[in-house]
Amino acid sequence: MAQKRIVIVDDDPHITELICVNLDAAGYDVARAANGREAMERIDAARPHLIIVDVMMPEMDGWELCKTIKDDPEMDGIRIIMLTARATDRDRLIGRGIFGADEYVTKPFDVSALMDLCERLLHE
Amino acid sequence: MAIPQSTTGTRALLYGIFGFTLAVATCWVTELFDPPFSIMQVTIETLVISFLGFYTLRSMLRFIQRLELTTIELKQRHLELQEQAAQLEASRKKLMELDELKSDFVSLVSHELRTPLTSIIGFSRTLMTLPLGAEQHRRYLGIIESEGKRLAELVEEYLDMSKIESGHIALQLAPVDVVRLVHEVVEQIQSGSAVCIMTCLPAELPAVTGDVGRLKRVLLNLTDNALRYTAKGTSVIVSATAADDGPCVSVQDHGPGLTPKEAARVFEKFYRGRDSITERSRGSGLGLTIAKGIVEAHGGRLWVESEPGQGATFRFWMPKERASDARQAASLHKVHTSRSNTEDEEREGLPWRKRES
Repeated sequence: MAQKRIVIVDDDPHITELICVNLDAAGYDVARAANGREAMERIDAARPHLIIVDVMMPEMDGWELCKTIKDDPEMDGIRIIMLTARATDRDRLIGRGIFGADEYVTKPFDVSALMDLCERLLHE
Repeated sequence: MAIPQSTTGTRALLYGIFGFTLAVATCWVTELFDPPFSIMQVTIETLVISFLGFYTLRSMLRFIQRLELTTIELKQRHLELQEQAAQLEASRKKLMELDELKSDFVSLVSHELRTPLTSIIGFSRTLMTLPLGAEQHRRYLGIIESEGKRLAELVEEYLDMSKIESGHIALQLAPVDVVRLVHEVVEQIQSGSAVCIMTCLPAELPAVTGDVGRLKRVLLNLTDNALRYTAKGTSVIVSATAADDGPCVSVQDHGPGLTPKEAARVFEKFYRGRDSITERSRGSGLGLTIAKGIVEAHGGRLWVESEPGQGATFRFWMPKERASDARQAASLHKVHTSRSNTEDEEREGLPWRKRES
């Protein structure tokens, strides 16, 4: 089976590194981006199967990125995990209900649980 | 508004006349049907009826008057209630604003605390589960350490902020050598930054009385803020001048500068400027607010001078050490010297580190 591609978008380089090294070890093809604009470039180039995106970022934030992807018919089928420090129920509702994220994970997260979640979303 | 007495009298008189006429008419009509009436009987009847009429009308009039007064009172009460309602609405709005501020604060604080926690927990787990090389191992441990320190700093800043806000900031006053303090801060920040920090300082400045730890925090926060908005290859300039009433320290950046609107808000809690070079919203969002709070607690002033495109200069002025402060510090020094030699040596090495305990 072909290697699954994942793009990680977070303005904190430590967090992208953390997820990247774990996904790498799990055998995925991983690309990183520091903001929404950079993420769009990576997404256009790599056509990922899954995007893990932070909400609060400079330039284009996670909500906007999520909406852009979900509204674009060409990007149909790309799964999105929102990864954020915004932990209120309201944010969760906005993320999943309005912006159409597939999963909403709050920081600090359990790395193993995140790996399991990626695995599940990619093989659903 | 009360009805004037004369009007009431006139009205009563009119009603009286009306009653009397009515009585006379009644008697006359009765007489038509029942002729044998004596003049005496008619007069008595007429008087009784007119008095009855007069009293009835007078009590009705009084009743109306009371009603009018009650209406006026009710109107006044209504106005008062409207005023109270407006006041209540204003306090409700204020409370809602405060509540909003509080939730903003909580969500920002939780965001700032969650991010380093994520790295600490995540990398610890990664170190335990993945087979990593020695170099990677070391690097991740380094991240855990630095994020832990960042977390500790954040907690410290939030505590400082709450102390400043409640006005309970305890300053440990001692004479402070500003030139030395600037050198120390610049050295500390320069080691970890790609931006060049230049200093322009006189050989010496009048000493100020202050809390050296907190004044260091002011300089650190101002310089750190300047670095956030200064691109690689340009510089941040820290300079100091001596005015008659005390030294003035400036931290100048070559960033995008501030519009008057931004300059007015720059010391607000959690205010973040646009175009931050670091592109990361790291930090407590309280650096400048805390710096201003500390300087003002010392009786000094902190302000910003800036124009869009021209960079920004944050300047603070501290009042010169007063003779009484110097005496106080000297007497404290004596108390300390009588304690131990080691303490004395330490103080000799770093005279401005003396703390009032």
